Amino acid sequence: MERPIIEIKGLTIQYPTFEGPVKAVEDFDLSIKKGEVIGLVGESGCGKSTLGLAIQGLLRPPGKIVSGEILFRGEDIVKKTDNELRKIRGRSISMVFQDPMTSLNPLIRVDKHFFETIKAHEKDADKKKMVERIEKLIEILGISSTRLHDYPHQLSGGMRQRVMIGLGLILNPEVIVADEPTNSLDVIVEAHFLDLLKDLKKEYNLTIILITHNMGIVAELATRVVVMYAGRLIESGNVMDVYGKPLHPYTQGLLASIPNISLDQEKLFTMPGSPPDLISPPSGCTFHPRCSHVMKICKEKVPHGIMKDGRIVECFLYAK
Amino acid sequence: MHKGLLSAPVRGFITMGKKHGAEWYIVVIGAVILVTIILSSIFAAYIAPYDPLESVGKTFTPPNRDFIMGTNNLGFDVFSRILFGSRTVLLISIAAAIFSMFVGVPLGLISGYFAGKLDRVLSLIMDSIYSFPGLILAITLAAMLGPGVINISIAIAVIYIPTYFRVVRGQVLSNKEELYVEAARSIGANSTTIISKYIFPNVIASMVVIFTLNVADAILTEAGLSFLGLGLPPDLPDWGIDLSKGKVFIPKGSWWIVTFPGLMIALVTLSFTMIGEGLSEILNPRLKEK
Amino acid sequence: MQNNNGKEILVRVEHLKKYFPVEKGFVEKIIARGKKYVKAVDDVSFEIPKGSVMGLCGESGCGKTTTGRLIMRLIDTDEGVITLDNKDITHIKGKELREFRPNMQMVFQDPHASLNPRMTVGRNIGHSLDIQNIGTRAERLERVKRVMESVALTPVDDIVGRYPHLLSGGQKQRVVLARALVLNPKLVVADEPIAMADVSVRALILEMMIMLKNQFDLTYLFVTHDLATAKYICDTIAIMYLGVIVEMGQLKSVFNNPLHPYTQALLSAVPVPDPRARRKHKIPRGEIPSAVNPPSGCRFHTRCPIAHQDCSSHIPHMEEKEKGHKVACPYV
Repeated sequence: MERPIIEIKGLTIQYPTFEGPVKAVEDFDLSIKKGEVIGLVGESGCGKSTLGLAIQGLLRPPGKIVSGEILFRGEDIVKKTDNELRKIRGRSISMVFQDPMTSLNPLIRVDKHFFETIKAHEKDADKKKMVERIEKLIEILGISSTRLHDYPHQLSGGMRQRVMIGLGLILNPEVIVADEPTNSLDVIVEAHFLDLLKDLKKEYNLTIILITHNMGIVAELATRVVVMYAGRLIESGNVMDVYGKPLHPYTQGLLASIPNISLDQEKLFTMPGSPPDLISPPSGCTFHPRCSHVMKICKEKVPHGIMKDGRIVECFLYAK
Repeated sequence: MHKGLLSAPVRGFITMGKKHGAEWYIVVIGAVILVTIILSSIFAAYIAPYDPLESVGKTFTPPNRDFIMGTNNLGFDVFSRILFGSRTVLLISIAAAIFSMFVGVPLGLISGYFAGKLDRVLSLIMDSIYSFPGLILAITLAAMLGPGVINISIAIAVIYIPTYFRVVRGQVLSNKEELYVEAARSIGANSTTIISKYIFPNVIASMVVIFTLNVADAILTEAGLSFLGLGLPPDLPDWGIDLSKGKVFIPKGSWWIVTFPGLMIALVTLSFTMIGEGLSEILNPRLKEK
Repeated sequence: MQNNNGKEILVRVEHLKKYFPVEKGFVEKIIARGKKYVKAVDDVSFEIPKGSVMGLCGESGCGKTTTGRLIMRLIDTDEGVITLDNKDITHIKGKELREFRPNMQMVFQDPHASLNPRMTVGRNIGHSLDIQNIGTRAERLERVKRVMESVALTPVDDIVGRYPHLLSGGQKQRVVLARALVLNPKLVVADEPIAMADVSVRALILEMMIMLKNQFDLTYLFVTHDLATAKYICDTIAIMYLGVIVEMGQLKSVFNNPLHPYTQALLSAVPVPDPRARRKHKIPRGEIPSAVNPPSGCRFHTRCPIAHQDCSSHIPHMEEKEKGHKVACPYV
C-alpha cells in the first residue's frame, strides 16, 4: 500500500497563557495520501489554523508542540531545525494565505516575488529559465504576463490570490496548505479560484489541505472531510459520506444550520451553547454540554478511535 | 480576619506583577519614590530640622551629623531647603501640567472632531509652538510675564499644550471612524454626546501617560528657568535656584550645595517618568486591541 | 403609502445617487482636469413593503452598503428621494433628523467594533433612550431588560452590567440587535449581520431576527453578499452590480428564474454545501471593473456572455418581465 505523504500521530499543541495553557490541538491523528484533497473544517478556535501552521513547521512561540509527530514522507518534521524546515517549506509543502494583500510585499514587483522565492531554494537558478518557468505557470493560473511588472496594489483581489497560489506552486511542491484562501474574495472570483485549484490538482497531482469554516467550498473541492472541534478530530471520512450522512452530532448540527442555496429550507437548526473554553474545556467529550444525545459516559471519558461505516467518528453513540 | 483584609490587595499586587512583569514593578517603584517625596514635601514643616530661610550654622559645612546635607554659602541647611524646595517644584510642575491639559485636551477634541478650517488653524498654531525649543519659549514667556509662581506655571504650561493637543487630536481622528461612533450617530447622538461619551473615554488612558511624562519634563524646565534666575522670588527655596546659586562654589570643593538639589531633580523626574512609561506599557495592549 | 399593487409600502427609494470624490495625486491634480468620482450608487430605485424582508445583494463595491447608509441618513444623497412611512427624509438634518432616528435603526456588521467598549451592555443598548429622552430612568432600564430578554441575553441582571469585551461574539451580536430594537423602529437595516459570526451562531441570529420581525412588526433591509442566507430570510431581493440594480423582484422569481446574465453567474457561483451539487460548468471570466471608471452603457457588458453592440452605449432600464420581477437588460 502506498505510504501516506503526511502522517500526524498524537499531535498536541498548546499556547501558554497567564491563566493556563490554551489546548489548541489535542491528541490529533491523521493520515493523508498523495493526491487527496482534505477539507479541514471547524469553527474559529477549533485548532485547524494552528494545525496548518504546525504541518508547515511555521508554529511560532508561544505556541508549542507538546507531544506527537508530524511525518512528511516518513520524516518527523517536529524534530527538525529551522534550516531543515526552510528547505521543506516551499519545495514540498507550501502555504496559501488568507489575505494576499498583507502577505505580498507591496514594495516588490510581482516577478521579483517569484525570483526571490526560487532563489531562496535554488541559489544558482538561471534567470532565463526562471522566467520561462514563471510564464508557463502563470498561463495556467490565468495571469497575463504583462502583470509580472506590476506591484501588488495594482492587481485586483482575485489576481493577487492567484499570484499567491503561483508563489506556492513555483517550486513544484507536493502539498499545498491553504488557510481560508477565499475569505477575502467575492463569490464569482471564489468560484474561479476553486476551478483553478481543481485544474491544478489534476495537472500536478497535488495534495491539498484546505483549512476553512466554509462548508460550501469544501463540498466543491474536497475528497475527504476532517471535522475539528475544540482542538480534536471528531469526524473524518469521504466527502460524500460525511455530507450525505453526517454521524457526529456536531457535524449533523453544523450542516443543518447552514443556509443552502439549492434547497428550500423551512428552518435552520440552531446549535445550543457556545464553543468551549480551551483553557479549561469540559470533561470527557468536549462537545457534551451542547449535545442533545449526551450520555453519562460522555462526561467521563474522551472518545478516541471509534469507527463506524468505514470512517472515524469520535462519539460514544457509535462505540460498541 | 486580619489576614483576609491584607491578603486581597497583596494578591492583587502579585497578580499585576505576574501579568505585566517588569512594567508593573517600574510603576510601583516610581510611585513609591514619588509618594515619599510628596509626603515629605507636605510634612516638610515637621520633618525639616531647621528653617530653610535662616542661617543656622557655619557656612560651607560639609554633610555631618547636625546638617545631613551640609550648609550652603549663607549658612542655610541644605536638607531643609531640599524639603521645602520640593513644594515649590512639585506645585509649579503639576500646576503647569494641569493647566496644559485643560487647554490642550479640549482643543484637541474639538479640532479633531470637527476638522475643517478650525482644525487647520489650530494645528498650525500648535505646530508652531511645538517646533519652538521648549526652554527658549519658556524663557521668553517668563521674561514677558514677569516673576511670580503663577506666571512661571503658565509659561511652562504653554510649552506642553501642543503635546496634549496633538495626541488627543490624533486619537480623535482615528476614533471618529470607529463603527461604534457611527452607531452613536444612528441612534441620534449629537456632537457633544459623541465627543463626551464615545470619544473622550477612549482618550483618557493616553492622557494619563502624557500627564506624568509632562510633569517630569516640567520639573526640568522649571529647574532650568529658576537656574537662569527667571520667574521666582530669590528667597523662595527651590532646587533650581539652589543649583544656580551654588554652582560657583564647586571649584571651592563645596560639592554638596549643588549635588543634592541636582539629585532630587533627577529623582523626581525619574519617578514620574517611571510611572508614565510603565503605565504606557501596561495600558498599551488594551489600547492596541481596540 | 401604497404601491400600485395595493401593498403598504414602508420605504421608497427613487433615483438615488451617491458619488464619492476621489483624492487625486499631486501630479494628477496639476495635469488632469475635472474631478474623479467613485460612482458608488448610480440611479437606484426600489420599494420595501411593510413587514417584509428585502435583500440587497451583490459583490464588493456594488454599492449595497452605501445604499443602506443613505437610507439610514448616515451620509447625504447627491440625488434622489428617500421616503420612509410617507415622510420625505432625503434632506432632513440636525435636530429634525436626530428626532426621526428612532424610526430606523441599523444592525452593524462587526459586533466587536460597533459596541462602545467603555459602556456596559445595558448602557450600550439603552443609551439611545437617554438621548431621545424617552421615559424615566426606571422605565428605560425596564425597557432595556425586556429587549434583552427578547434576544435571549440572559441572565439579564447578570449581563446588563458587563462590559462588551467579556461577551462572546454571538452575545455581542445580540447586543447589537437589542440596541437596534430598543427604540421600536419601523425599519431595521441589517448590514451583513452574520458575516463575522461563527458558523454555529449564524443560524441562531437569523432565527432570532425572523422571530423579532414577527414579534415587533418590523421591516428589514438585509444587505449581504451571501446569497444562500438571502434566499433563506428574504421575501424580495435586488441584485446590485457596480452601483446599479440589475435585477429585482420576489425571491422565488429571481432565484428560480434568474434572467440577468450577472444574476445567473452569481447564483451558479455560490458554493453549495453538498458534494453532489458540484458545479459542472465554468463561470464567465473577468473581474469587477473599477468603480471610478465603470464601463459605459450597461456596466456588465465587458463580461457579459450575451453582450450586443449597443450595450456599451445604451444604459438599460428596468423592465418588468414577469409579475414582480424586473430586469435591467433588453435582451433577456
